[in-house]
Amino acid sequence: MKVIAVFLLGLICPLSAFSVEFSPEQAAVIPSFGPWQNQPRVDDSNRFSGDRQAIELGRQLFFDRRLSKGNVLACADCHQPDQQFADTVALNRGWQPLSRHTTSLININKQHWFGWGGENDSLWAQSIRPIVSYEEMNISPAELKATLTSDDLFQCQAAQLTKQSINSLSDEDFLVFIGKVLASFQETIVSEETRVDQFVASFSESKGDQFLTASEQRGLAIFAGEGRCFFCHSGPNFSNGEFADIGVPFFTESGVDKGRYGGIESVLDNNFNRLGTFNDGNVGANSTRTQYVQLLPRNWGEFKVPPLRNVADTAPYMHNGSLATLDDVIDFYSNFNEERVHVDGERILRPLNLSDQQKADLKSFLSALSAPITFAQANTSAFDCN
Amino acid sequence: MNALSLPLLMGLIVISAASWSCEPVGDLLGESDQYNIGLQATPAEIITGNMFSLAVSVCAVNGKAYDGVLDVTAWMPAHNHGMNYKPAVIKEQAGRFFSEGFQFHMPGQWQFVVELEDGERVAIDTVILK
Repeated sequence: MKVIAVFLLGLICPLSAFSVEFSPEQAAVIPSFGPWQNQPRVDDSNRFSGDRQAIELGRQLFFDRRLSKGNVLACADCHQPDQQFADTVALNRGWQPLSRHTTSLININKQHWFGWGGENDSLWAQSIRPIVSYEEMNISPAELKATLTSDDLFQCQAAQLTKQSINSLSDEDFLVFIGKVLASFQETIVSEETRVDQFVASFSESKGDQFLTASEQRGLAIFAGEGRCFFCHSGPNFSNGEFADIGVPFFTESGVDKGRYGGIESVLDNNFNRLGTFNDGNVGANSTRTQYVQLLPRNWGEFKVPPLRNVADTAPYMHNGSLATLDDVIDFYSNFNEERVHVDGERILRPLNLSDQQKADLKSFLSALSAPITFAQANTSAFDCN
Repeated sequence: MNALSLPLLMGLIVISAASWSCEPVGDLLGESDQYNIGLQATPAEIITGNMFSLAVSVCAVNGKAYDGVLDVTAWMPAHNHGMNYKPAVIKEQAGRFFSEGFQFHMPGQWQFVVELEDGERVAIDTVILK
């Protein structure tokens, strides 16, 4: 059997234009971190995505504790706007103690799988999950509908948005409606351009040295080189959007967290997935991941590869919140325990054995990925309900 | 030969020629002793984490279009792992297939493997940088 290899050659920059001498391999990878486009992406599985009334109603509901049993918990109680839409504890609790760390919602509209195990394939389905979960907000669809539809203002706003009486919806349809307006608001949570973006944008023209310090550039060289971070943390959102086993324990207080294995089982068994009747768009076109995802033994112990924008501001880390600081994360990879991860081929994760200076450089680069975030603010003119 | 048989004969010749006229498509090409394979990705640029589909052509070395079934997958030989997705293949016509459901979740060298009904396997390498 003959093999014809086709190689795509990257651009190799003149390397002297920067404070750090990037290798040809690093120079080929760095442009792939851009361009950063933070405009919300419209999700065609959600007919309310991008709608200004849906965004406003979703914003109100995001902060509304009536979405929980006993009116004790709102989405914003765990996804706190002043904490990067995450929280600062390893494991939070709703109606029960939780076994996974709260993920940040920044740039959530760029993702395709939702939850540490990818339990949902749309943001609106993921928004439904905590509402009805007995561990989290713990409210039944019927109770949720009864509570909200007793509110005249909500009734009016929902009717203006849907062009129908909200009372006519079944409990299940009502739950999906709530998920979709919540998603419409969350899609507006985006981070702005960083100095890294400015550096990446001018890199191919051998310009932009002024955007990153020498330490940050050395950190980038590790990230795009020997650190192999870019293998999974790839592209402008610094995540491939998939799942990986990095050896973080998956045992919990109550048993085992199946990670991606359980996530695939869950999404394929979910009435609210993109293959179902609640998908408002072209099912064949907007559900390819769900159609073709395969359940593999190696999915055990795999968890979401988190995007790294604003990562320095979203401690603690890992699916179980077990690493308190960014320094701990860097130490985790520097001292990586190869015995914790089974591999059949060449190891992707190896101990990096970073010096103190290299650790500081990598932290500097990761910190340069932070930028202010924006999200939809109160829009009192969206409805005529007074 | 009557007036109807000439067009009929010409039609048969055209159909026969079509089934023998098979040109590989795409910019990813591979071959074995028996077949020439062509792959064309859509979108043309394969980007880590993005889904893509493939147009697949399979031509026997004698120029005849392959008329059987096939399977297409991809893996990373260095890391000995495949994709997170299992693509499906649709036969469009003899020698031409459409396969959907590909995603490379990591940059580096990937290898497409086209496996034909008779057990013939053809590998085609590609390198993804971003």
